Amino acid sequence: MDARLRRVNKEITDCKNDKTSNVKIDLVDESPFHLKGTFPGPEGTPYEGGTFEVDIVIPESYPFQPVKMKFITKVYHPNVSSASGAICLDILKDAWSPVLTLKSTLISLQSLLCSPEPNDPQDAEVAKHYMTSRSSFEETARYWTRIYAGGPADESKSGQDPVAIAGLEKAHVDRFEALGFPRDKVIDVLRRLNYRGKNVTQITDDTIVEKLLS
Amino acid sequence: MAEEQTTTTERELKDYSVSEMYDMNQRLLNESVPDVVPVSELAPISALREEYENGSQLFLSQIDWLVKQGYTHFRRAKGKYLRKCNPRMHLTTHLLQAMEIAFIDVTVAFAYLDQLIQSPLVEREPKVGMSLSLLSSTREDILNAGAQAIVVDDAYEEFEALIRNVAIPDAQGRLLTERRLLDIFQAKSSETTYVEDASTPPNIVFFLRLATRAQLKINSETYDGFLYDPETGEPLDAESFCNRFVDPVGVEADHMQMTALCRELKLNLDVAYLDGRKADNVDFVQFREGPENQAPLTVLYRPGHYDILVKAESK
Repeated sequence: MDARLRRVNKEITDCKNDKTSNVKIDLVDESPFHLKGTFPGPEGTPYEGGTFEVDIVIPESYPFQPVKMKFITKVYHPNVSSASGAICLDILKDAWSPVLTLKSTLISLQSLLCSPEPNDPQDAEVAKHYMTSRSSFEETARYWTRIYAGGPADESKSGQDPVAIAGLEKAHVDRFEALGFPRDKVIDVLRRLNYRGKNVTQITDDTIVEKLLS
Repeated sequence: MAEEQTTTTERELKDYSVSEMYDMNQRLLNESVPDVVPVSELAPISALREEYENGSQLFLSQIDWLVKQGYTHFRRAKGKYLRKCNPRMHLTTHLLQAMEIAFIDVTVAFAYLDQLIQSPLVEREPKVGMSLSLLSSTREDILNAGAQAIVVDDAYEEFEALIRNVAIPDAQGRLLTERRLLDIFQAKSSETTYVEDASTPPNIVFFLRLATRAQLKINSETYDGFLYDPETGEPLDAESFCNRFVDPVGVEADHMQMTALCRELKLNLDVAYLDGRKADNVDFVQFREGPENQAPLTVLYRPGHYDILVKAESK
C-alpha cells in the first residue's frame, strides 16, 4: 500500500479512538486525502463556544511535505485570512516535520487561537485592529464566533450586523453615512483605515472624506 | 494579463506576506530542482579531481592529499541544484542550502547500509543482528522520548527491513546488494506512477531525525548548555532545539545533531572538509561513538553538499 495512505489511515483511526481530545477528523467525500477537521474554540478566548471547521488536504509526499490546512469557518484572527481562511503558522510551512500528525496540527491551530502573533500576520488589517485596540478586536472576534461559528447567544443569522463584522462603531458609520455616502462604502473605508481606538482621534475627517470620494 | 504581470513585478518584496513568500519559494524551489540523483555509483577519485582541474589549486592539492591517505573512490551523494535564472532567486537561497545540506542524513544512511553489505560474509550475519537490536532499542528510546508509534513505525519498519535484507533474502528471494541499494536511493515517484521504493530514503532520514531527537531529549542534562540557536546564539532546551533544528524536513544537521545521532546509533563517522582552505591536508571531524574495531563511515563535505569517501581496500 501507498506509504501516504497507510499513514493517513493510521492517523484517522487514532483520532477516532481518542476519546480524550476534542479534535475530530471526518471524510469530506470518499477520498482519504481530503478531510475536514473540527475543534471547539479555546476557553477564555473570544473564540470560546464556537465550533471551527478546517479544510485538510494531504499532499502527494505526505508526511514528508506539510499537510495543507485552511479554515472553512470564518475566523477573526491576525494569523488567519478573514477572506480565504488561509493560515499563517510555521509548522504548516518550513517548520513542518513528519513527527507531526493531523491531530497535533489541529491542536496547534487551536492554540494559535489562544495566542495570536500579530507581528507575523496573515491578515494585515485584522492585525492592525488587534494592535490598536485589544478590547475592540476581541469584541469583533467574539461577534464573528457567534455569527459564523455558532457561538453563544446566537441571534438569528439574518440579523448579522455589517458594522460589527467590520469591527467598527455604529456611531462612526452613521456619522459619515449622514454625509450622503453609501453605508457599505463607509464601512469599507473605515475598516481599511483601521478607524478604531486611538486612531479615531488621529485620522481626520478630511482624510476619510477624501478616501470616500476616491 | 500583461497588466497584471507588471503589477506583480512592481510589488515590492516587503509587501509580500510571509505566507506568500513561502509559496513563492516553494514554486521556485520546485522549478529549480531537476531530477536529482540522491546517491550515485562509485566513481574513482580522479573524477572528483577532474571537477577542479580548471579551478582552485588548493582543492586539487587537498584531493591529492586524500589519495595519499588511501581514499581511492567516492560516491556523489547529491547533484547540484540547477538554479534557473530568476531575479527573485535570492529569496530561496537559504531554503535551497537547507535542502542540500539535509542530505547528510541520506549520505550517512547509505554509507551505513553499504558498510553492512560490504562486510565479509562471515561477519555479515552477526553485524546485521547487532544493527537490528540497536535499531529496536533506538525505537524504544524514540517512543520514550514522546513520539507516537503511529508516526514512528512506518519509518522503523522500512529501515529494519532493509538491514535485515542484507543477511536474509526478502519475499522475492533477493538479498540487499549494492546495486539494489542504489536503486532504492534513486527511486522516484512521479505524478503518474507510484514507486514503492521512493518512500524508503525519506523514511530512513526521518528515522535518523527521530533517533537524534530521542538522544537529545532522553539525555537532556548531558547536552544542557551545548544547544543554542546558531543565528542568535540564544541557548535552547532540548525540546525547542529539536523543534527548530532537528525535526523540520529542511534543516541542516550541524555538529550537535551529528554527535547525538552517532551516540544513539553507536556510529563511528568521519567528516572530511574539502573546503580549499588548506593546501597540505584536509580537516577531518571525527565522531567516535561505536565499537573501536568498527571502521568509520567517511563523508566528504564540499561547500553545498556531502559525498561518500571510500578506501579501496575496505571494499
